[in-house]
Amino acid sequence: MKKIIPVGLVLVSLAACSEPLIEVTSAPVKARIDSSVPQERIAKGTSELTVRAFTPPEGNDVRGPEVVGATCSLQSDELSATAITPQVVILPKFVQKKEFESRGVPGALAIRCTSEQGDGTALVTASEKNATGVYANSGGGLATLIITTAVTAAVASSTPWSYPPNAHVTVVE
Amino acid sequence: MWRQIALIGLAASVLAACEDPMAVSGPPKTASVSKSLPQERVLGTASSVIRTFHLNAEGKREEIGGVPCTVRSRHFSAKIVSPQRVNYPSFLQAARFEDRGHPGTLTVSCSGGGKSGAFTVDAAPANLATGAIHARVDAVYSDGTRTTQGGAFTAPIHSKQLASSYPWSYAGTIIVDLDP
Repeated sequence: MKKIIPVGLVLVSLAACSEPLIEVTSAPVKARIDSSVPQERIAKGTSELTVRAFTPPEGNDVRGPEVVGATCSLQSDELSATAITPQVVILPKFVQKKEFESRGVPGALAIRCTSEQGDGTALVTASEKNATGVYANSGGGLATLIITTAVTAAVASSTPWSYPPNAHVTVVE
Repeated sequence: MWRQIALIGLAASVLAACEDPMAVSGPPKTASVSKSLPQERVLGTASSVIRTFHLNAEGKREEIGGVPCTVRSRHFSAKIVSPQRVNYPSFLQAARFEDRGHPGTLTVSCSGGGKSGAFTVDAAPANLATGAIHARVDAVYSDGTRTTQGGAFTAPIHSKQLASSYPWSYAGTIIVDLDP
């Protein structure tokens, strides 16, 4: 398991060597909360999810050129939103409580992006704490489909559920 | 009795793990998906490697290749020749879908060289997080034993709760034992 951390560092380092990310200039969009979600499930505060799209990487690159203007729909049991890449989506945090089913963990956010360069999907799951988001590609099987953050035993059981800060979707023709 | 079965299963897994698996030849096969499957229920793809085993003349369990197999579920089907990878849709798990979007069981039926076998595996939440958590069941044998990928499995404190948001997954490797 100790090997995983260095691998993660290498990935982050490699990501840092790629082209710089395009500055987000559009205003953040706030996710809609489904009317069926009880108010008591919504925690104080919000989190920001930056949605970006990329073409597939070539050679040893971690990702291809960033795609501007991909239309991405975000959908979960509780939330929905539309983002035009790159754009920040403001998401609510969810109360973690043992009285709630599955301790109140919100559903996974399914992201579907369409663009002139192709289409792509990703799945973003909630965790108990914010950490560096893990980049994911579409079409590579489950291992590369899910964007999440590692959960450790040190996390308090009362910490609200939130989503990771980055969702990078690879679009493929 | 269950302890004996578990020990036998463990022994079978260890024996299977002692030998290198046969190299997967040929490109992955993409399953044909039912047109009635709503697109909102799927997101991306998942895959499994289908392998076949039999007892050789010495009574030793060994992998055998080149066996035609049919992979069939309620929503997709494919024909492969073992050992081969099959790609199929990844099914979202969500409360807004009936039965949380559970895609049902997957049956692999193989027949060749005068031997045949079949195995049915159920879908389970892919409790697969990038990082220290790696809970996916990697192989399911037709005798019911399971192995986990990588050998190191650290359960997160709330793995059960987090599993409710993960897509449904079949085993990464499905092994079918062939009998005469």
